[in-house]
Amino acid sequence: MSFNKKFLTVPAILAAICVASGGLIGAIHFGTSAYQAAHKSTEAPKEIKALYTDASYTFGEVEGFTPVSSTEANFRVTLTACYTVLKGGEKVGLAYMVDCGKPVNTEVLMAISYHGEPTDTLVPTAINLYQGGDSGYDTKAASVVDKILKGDTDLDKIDVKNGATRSSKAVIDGVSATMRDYKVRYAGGSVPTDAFPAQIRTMYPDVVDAVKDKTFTEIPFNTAQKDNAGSVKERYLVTLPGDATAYAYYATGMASNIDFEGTDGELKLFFGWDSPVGESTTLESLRPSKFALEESSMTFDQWKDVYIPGILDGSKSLDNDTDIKTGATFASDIVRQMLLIEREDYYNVRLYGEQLTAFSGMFGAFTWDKTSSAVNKSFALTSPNRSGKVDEQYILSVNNEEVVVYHGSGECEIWIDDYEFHNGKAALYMAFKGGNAAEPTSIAPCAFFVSDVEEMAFDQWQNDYLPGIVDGSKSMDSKSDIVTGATYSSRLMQDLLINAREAYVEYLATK
Amino acid sequence: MANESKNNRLRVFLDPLLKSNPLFVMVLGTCPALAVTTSFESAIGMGLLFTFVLFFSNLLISALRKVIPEEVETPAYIVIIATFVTIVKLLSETFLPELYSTLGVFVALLVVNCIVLGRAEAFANKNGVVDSMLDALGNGVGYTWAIAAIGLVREVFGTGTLTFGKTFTFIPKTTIPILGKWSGSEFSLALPILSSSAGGFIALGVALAIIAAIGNYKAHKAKEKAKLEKEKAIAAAKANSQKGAE
Amino acid sequence: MNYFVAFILAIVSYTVIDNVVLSRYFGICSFVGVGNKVKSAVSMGIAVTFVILMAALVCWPLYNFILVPAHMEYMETIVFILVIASLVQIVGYFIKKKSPTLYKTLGIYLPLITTNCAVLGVVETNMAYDFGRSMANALGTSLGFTLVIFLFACIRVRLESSNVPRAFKGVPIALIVAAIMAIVFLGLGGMIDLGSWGLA
Repeated sequence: MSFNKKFLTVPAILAAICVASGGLIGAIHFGTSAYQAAHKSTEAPKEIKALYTDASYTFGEVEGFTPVSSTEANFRVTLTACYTVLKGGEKVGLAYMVDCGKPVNTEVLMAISYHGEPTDTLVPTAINLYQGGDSGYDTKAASVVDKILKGDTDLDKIDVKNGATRSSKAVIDGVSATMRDYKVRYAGGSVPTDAFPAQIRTMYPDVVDAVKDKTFTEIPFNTAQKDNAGSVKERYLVTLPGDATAYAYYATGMASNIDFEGTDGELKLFFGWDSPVGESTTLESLRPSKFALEESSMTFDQWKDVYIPGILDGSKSLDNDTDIKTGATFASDIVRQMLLIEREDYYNVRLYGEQLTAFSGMFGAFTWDKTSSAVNKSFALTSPNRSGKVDEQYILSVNNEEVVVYHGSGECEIWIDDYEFHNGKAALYMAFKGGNAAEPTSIAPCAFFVSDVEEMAFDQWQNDYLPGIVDGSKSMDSKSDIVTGATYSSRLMQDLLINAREAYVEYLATK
Repeated sequence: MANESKNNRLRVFLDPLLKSNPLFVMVLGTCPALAVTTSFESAIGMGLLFTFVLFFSNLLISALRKVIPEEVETPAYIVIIATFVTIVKLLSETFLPELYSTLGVFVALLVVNCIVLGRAEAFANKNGVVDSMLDALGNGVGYTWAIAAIGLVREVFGTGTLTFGKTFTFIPKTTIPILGKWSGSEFSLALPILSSSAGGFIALGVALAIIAAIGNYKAHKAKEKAKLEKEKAIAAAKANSQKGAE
Repeated sequence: MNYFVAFILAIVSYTVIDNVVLSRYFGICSFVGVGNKVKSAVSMGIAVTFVILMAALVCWPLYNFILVPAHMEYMETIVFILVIASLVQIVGYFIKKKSPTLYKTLGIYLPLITTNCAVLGVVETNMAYDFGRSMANALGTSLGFTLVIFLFACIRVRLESSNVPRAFKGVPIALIVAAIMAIVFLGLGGMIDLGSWGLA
């Protein structure tokens, strides 16, 4: 073969072989895929069957089920399969195959079934966990499963701190996703794809995420008609595009004798609040901007057609007694009471969110008149470099005792492992009570709450020094007590405490 | 003439079974031999897939041996072998899913199995299609029984039982207890180390040692025989020369 | 920082705890065949390291950005082995140019790397991992392979001068030694609590 020809034929042959093999593989692939699709078993997989030891349970397909994914509290969960559970031919519930994500190296797969009408206290009937591969944490995740099966369905509060944390969180996510789906699908409704109520998306179509506030406690209200007519149940922090936030509230209320037949009616409503709140905003000027209905069994609709639109556009006022007389007066009254509570809560959470979190973190229950005074203490020291200020004073009442809380913030230079100095920042609340102004060194804070931390490399100042000050084992006047590790940050804390105490002593002197 | 070629053909098939066994004599294809032999059934399964790949690649390479130019021999062989490995992967995934999941990545590793490439370069590209098919079958069966033997030993002595039906699900699952924990006996005579990674090395090492010992023994015997013959011949020659001298 | 430590730990785990040769059974042919020359063993290890690292670097994006979106995952075996074969050729070419002595030392071992189960094995298992983990796998595998092959060659040097029963001479005793090494490495399991790092 001449040289030129070789250049053509040699690669050509190789190419021909590649093409032929590609074709052959493609053909076989096509054949096997077709075979697999044709022979796909419509029987329930053995994992679902394994949920029941009683052979009288049979399973059927759920029409039109497609796998649905949702981002839960910790992981992305996919409901991969759903089957109807039948006993003696009667539908008793649904069973799901769930892929709870890959918390560690291996997937956590779960088969779970629910029976009966979905109620608020729905407990799964059976749960089986399958973890691909052996992660050795099966027993810990299994104990979470046991808790759930025994009725501990407040998924937010299950203790997962005891090892296999990530796997247990995946289990919890799987259970909450299926529970949510079951509640809708059992009755034949359409399926939610968000981890938060669909009404939030109705109100804010481009919502990024909505998280239920776990520290929010239910607030009951009375209407003119009856006491404890309902309550504001949940508050969600809604994150919108561009870092904007809003708050959504869920409230329910009941009224009797709403019509001439004397029937009872119930309302379940969502409201969205997003107007800006500043120091000068008045309560009266605040109103919700969005509304979405979950359920209403009222006979008349003026509460929805007249009252709420009026509130939303400002033509009606929550503080006006006659505005609720829309027809459907009882229902409008319920809405009014809901919104009054939501309005105050929204105002507080916008203005005082950080303080409320700090105070409830320190004391639990407290009263506070929402006032603060300015404090003018600051310091700037050079060795090591640190500076800070104490700028606000709050007076609270805890268990009928007066507690004075100071807010301080500062920054200090800290040395971190890559042989560099950089500034760490912290802000905290320090609480003082009692004490003798004549002996300042005997005064120590009774509680503290760190509200902001930025780039502090070590945390002994937070986990070791400050708790030591509070329980008395360390003294803020002692030079040796700050040597806890994180010495520079502890020095910053010491200076903040000393300044706060100075302010407190001055305050005590004015009483 | 025809007889000779038939004999030759038979030789081609029979040699790899024993005399030039790819695993025990040529010490090729050791990776799967250690990895999938924890169970007898999966060893047989692996042998099956191996034979499939070897058979078809030998066939095709032999059929194309006059067409493939020398320069692209190696990549061409690789493509052909990889094609059949992919095919066997797809087929086993569909029809024998348990086997596929037990063997895992080693199905794909058939493409770098020294035996497959070795037979292609040493035999298939020099011989006719029928011979290559026979060679493939011979090597396939030889390799299969070799790893099956190791699998049998490792499973029986490692777990004390022999399980069927786990990989080939059309066989009903039966477990035959052989060593220990049977008829009320309290202790098991099994050596679990054989099921671990070290056990593979031990099993193969001992097997090769046994083969070597047999080979040594045969060689020793042959040597003795030759020595005897030599002495006989010398004695005979001596006797002859004595006779001649008389 | 957590991720970095996890990366290092993954490498250590793949090198020692789940060693490529002694635990995962890849690369045995070359392992057994390397003989008792320590120098050629180390050169082999280095060459394999090169090939594994480059193969992992090339094949992971190839799989995840080309094959998966095209739904052609089943072509992976062919694609991977072709990439590996080409890489071996390229590496061989460069070694020949840069250091002919090294090329001579490696001799036949270089093209043999193509059939080394370790290379294809690493690339295949990397399909299931994210990029960081696949690189940790590649690094750990090559380090583990080099380590084991080096130890093995050293041991075999000693073996040459010891009294091994005739039947065991050569490959059989090498395998028994490998078994002992495997048992030793088995003991290293559990050295690091991999679960807390999200690696188990």
